[in-house]
Amino acid sequence: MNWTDEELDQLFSDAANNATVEYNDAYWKDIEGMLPVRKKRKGLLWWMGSAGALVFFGSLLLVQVPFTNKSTFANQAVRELSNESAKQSNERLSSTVSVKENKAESTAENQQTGFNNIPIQKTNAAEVNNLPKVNQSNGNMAVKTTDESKMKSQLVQPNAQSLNPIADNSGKLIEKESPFEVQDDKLVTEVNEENISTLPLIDLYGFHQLPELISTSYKLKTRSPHALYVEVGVGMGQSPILSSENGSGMAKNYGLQFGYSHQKSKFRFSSGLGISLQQFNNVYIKERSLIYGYGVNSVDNHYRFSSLLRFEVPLSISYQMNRHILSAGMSLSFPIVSGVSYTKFIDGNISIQEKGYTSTEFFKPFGTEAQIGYAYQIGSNWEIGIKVQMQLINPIDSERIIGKTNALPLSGQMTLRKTIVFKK
Amino acid sequence: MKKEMKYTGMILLLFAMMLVSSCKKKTIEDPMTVSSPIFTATGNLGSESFLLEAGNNSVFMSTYINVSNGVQVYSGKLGNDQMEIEIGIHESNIDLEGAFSIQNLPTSLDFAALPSQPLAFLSKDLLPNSMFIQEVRWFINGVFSGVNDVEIIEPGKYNVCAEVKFLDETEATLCNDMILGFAVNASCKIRHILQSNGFLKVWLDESSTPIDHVLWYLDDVLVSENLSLDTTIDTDNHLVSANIYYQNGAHRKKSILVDGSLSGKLIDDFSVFENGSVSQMKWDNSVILKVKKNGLVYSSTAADNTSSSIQLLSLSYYGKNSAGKDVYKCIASVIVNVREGQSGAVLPLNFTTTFGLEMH
Repeated sequence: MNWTDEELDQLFSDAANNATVEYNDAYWKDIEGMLPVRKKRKGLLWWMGSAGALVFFGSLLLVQVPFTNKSTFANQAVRELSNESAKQSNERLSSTVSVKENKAESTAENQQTGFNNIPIQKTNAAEVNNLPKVNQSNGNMAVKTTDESKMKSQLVQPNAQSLNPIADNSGKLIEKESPFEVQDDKLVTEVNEENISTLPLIDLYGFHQLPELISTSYKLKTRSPHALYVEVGVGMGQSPILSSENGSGMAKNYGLQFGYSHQKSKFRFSSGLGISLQQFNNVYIKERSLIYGYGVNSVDNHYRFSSLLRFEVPLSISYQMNRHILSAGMSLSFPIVSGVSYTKFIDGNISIQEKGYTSTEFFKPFGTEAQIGYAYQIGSNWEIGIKVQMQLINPIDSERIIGKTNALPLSGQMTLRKTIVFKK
Repeated sequence: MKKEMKYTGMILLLFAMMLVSSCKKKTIEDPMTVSSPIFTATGNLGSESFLLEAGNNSVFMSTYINVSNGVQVYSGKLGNDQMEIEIGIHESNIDLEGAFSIQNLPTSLDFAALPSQPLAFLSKDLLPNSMFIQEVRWFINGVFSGVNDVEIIEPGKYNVCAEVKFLDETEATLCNDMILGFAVNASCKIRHILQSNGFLKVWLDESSTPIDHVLWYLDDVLVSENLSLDTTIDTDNHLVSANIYYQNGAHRKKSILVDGSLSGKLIDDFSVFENGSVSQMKWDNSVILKVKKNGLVYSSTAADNTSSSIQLLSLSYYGKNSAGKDVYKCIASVIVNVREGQSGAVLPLNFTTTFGLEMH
């Protein structure tokens, strides 16, 4: 059975509205022993290091690096259910049982822990840190929760296994099972405890110290396939001139792209505009002339092209597997301006020395690049990746430039891409 | 959508800035053309051929104006340590200020040759009051040249001074300019009468061309602008000078020393001696050529070049030299004999050249 977003939304909404669970301290003691240790978030540095290693080992381009950081998701115990198990879970969810306790019995406990004798729904212990805040109103409150993106917050339904719908990156909802289940007013678990370290609940999350809970409503929405993106890149590559007589054969590359992308199933089509800056130091014009007159003077003109700024029109298609994205594409480029430094020698002595920009008459008026890339989605709208580009047209267009030209210069870039999804 | 618009605007602004910054561009010069030597000379000296190219083999073209015997010689020198050719062209119409014009150069130029006889003979005995003179010491261009009798051989414009010692041991000095071996466009004699009452009348006689005006100086003081000078002097010696401006543009200065005591201790205008050389050779626009090769110096003036000539094929302005003077480039064909100074050997020299000459 396939659930639509609207059906799931309605299902969670109904379940949340009908479910009222009164607080029982015994639950918390049970939960406390089963809480996983919250791993330290390693942050962006880890990703930069991983990406750098990927660049260094270019062969890993086509290798899917497994994601091992358990701290990315709080709910590490969640596992995907098969369609069958999801169906079963949903059936159990539809028959949610309200567990009520004697209000008088719970008063003392609640006062001790700071709760105001509120019948609440307990959440999955593994998701306590993501528990939606509860608005205090009339002392009694029901938590109605759905998550349109990650659905980190999940309700634990006594006597029912909570369904944990999560949207993947393509906007498709996946169903995940909560590891907790309440049977006969006691919490039982299906979690493999080998992977979970335990800490006292109050030390880790201070849940008992929470003065209040705030209720927030979430609506499930599918992700729009239309998006804008901004991509910056930096990398190294081969200079248009092979010879290193006048400098390094390597070049630095910087790129900035802006465009539109469209998601179709696991494929994404991107097109946009961009600029790229290539910096090199071995592209020279060196010319000498003897000026005869009363004697002779040697005049040397040295032009060193230091950079080339290009306007780009990138086109790419990407295939996404979970958070791994493989891409291939083409790019048309049009040189705009090139940086140049000019030195004039007369009889070996510097006569003129200046820097500036000049036209791109010494470069091909257009270029074509083929590229392949790999990216990892580090957030719902952020990707970091690498790509390898190859110029398909020799960029040098003048015999005045000395040295052997590099007909197919290669370059690589690390990229960071920000996607701005259109709102539906 | 507001967020998307913000990103779009930001990126477009960035593109616009990049495009604007690329508008101011430096132009890269076209490839420099391969130039070739400009000043060259190629030909034969005797049986040996030579090739001189300024810029190659340390050959250099230098240009200058040489002053020889008071006359400007527009010159150039092309060569290196092994061989060197020097060519000079004498100015013409040296008594006409600013009369020389590069455009007036004839296409065929003669070589300057030394005269077989002196151009001028300066002698005490030729002075009209020689009977009152004990001795005359001659100075040419400030250099003592002899006593009583002196010969001037080479053409030029000379400043000749006569230091006269009279019989009574008194001395007086008079200087005059003399043009010898060059065309003289105006000439005249300065004459005077001194009366016993001290009245002095000085005038110009036998003028070859109409006089425009005259400035008279008595003891270096301007006293009159008339064609003749009428004045009164005392019994001392007085220097009377006339700056004569002829209608054809010629300018001469003549001086006499007047004896106010009427005892014959005067010095008349001895520049009249130049008139005797008028019919002789003229070095106007004549060419002198020297060749240095292997330490030997060959000169055209010492050889017989009556049938030699230099043909100017073209003459055009080239530019300024390092001294800021104008240089003209002449293409010429030269056939000349040169004589080595020590051995007296005469060698035929023929060559074609593109030569530089400083002129003004």
